[in-house]
Amino acid sequence: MEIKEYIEKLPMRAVKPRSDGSFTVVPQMSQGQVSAEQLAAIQGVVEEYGLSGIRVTAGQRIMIDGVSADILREVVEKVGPVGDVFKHKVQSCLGTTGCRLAMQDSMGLAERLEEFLKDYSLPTKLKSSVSGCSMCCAESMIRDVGLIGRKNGWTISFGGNGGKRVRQGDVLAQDVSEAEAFDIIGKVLDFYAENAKVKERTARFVERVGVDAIKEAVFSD
Amino acid sequence: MAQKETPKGAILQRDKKTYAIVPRTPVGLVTPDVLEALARVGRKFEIPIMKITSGQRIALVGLEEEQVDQVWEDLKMDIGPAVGLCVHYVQACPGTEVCKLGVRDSLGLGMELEEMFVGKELPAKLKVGVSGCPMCCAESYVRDVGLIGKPKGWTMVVGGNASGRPRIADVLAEQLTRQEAVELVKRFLDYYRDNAGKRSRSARLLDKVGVDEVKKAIL
Repeated sequence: MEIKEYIEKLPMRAVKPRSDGSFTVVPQMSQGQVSAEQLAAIQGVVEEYGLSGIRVTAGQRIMIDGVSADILREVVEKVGPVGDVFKHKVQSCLGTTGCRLAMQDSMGLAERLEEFLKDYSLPTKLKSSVSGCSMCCAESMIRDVGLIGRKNGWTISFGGNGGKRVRQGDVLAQDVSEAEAFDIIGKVLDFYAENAKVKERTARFVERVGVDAIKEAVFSD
Repeated sequence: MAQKETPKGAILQRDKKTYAIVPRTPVGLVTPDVLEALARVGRKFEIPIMKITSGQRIALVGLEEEQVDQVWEDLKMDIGPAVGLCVHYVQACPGTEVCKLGVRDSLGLGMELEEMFVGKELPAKLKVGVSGCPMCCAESYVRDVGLIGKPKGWTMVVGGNASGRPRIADVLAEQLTRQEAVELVKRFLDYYRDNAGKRSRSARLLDKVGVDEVKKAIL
């Protein structure tokens, strides 16, 4: 089908087909940052095609719903970059970019973490969050990989989930540097990738193998 | 205006000079007019950062003190509470409006709850998540009040929290109609208001009294 091929050529997660035959178009943005120009472009297509507006999601994205097949290409072209650059998306709070409470640069680390995660091939989707202080506005404790900035470094949590079978992540390390954090995340994801069942989320994986086995895999050598 | 008073709906930033504001966008829905206003204001005031938050809102960050009132005036939008001791926001997934998996109208119920309760004063901030199916895309189990759409009605959970001290919400009631759900949210908020200490989030109240106590009091 022609339209299916068109969608497949776009960046990941740029267009989602809906049950009523319409499509949702997802503009590209990292850590939820959107420029005035991008907003203006989004607004331009919403107005031009008489769409109902946009939806801001909890995953720090904007979705343009109700795009019919006949205008899909035009909307995608006019709205600017769409979809995700990186396979595994990372959310963050504002961190030291603005917030008074922040202890660490969560937005900067989130950006570098997305880059770091791009080569990992994993059993299923992976959600990560970086919070700049222990208030945890990016909700790190309920993500597959969560980072929390504290005065002396980063806390790493693994195996959290905010969905149907909700689970609090297990803390793997505290007060580690960024380099150490990436090293630990790399090791735990390697262990997960090698030992998880198909489509097994990290929460289910940690429940099955136990957090001690994970810690041993990460820290014993 | 009194000196040194924080401008309307503004959150002082790290540099102790600039402010962030968060306009109210119920259940994350932004109409074409609001979108137009946000884009226009972003350009006109050259707002340094516009960032989508985890609460389905758009924060405008880095405003000078004298810009705050002008920006609000241009936006013609309400304030989305972000620091007060009250209901901050209601999140919702797309539900039956858009999603293939949706079994209940989460946007509709979310919007109704938003209109009824945002700004309601409580012992601490309170967040609501309404999910249209058990996948729980609005992360209802880690909200103070969570609703989950199931084939036989709404499940209501309370006392969840996604902070550094997370808590998984307890199931308060199941198979509720939309009207029953709204009524029970109201009863829970009143119970929470009357029984929690100042600045104590609902998760800590549930830790203390247990869900059975809450059930006894309001069901």
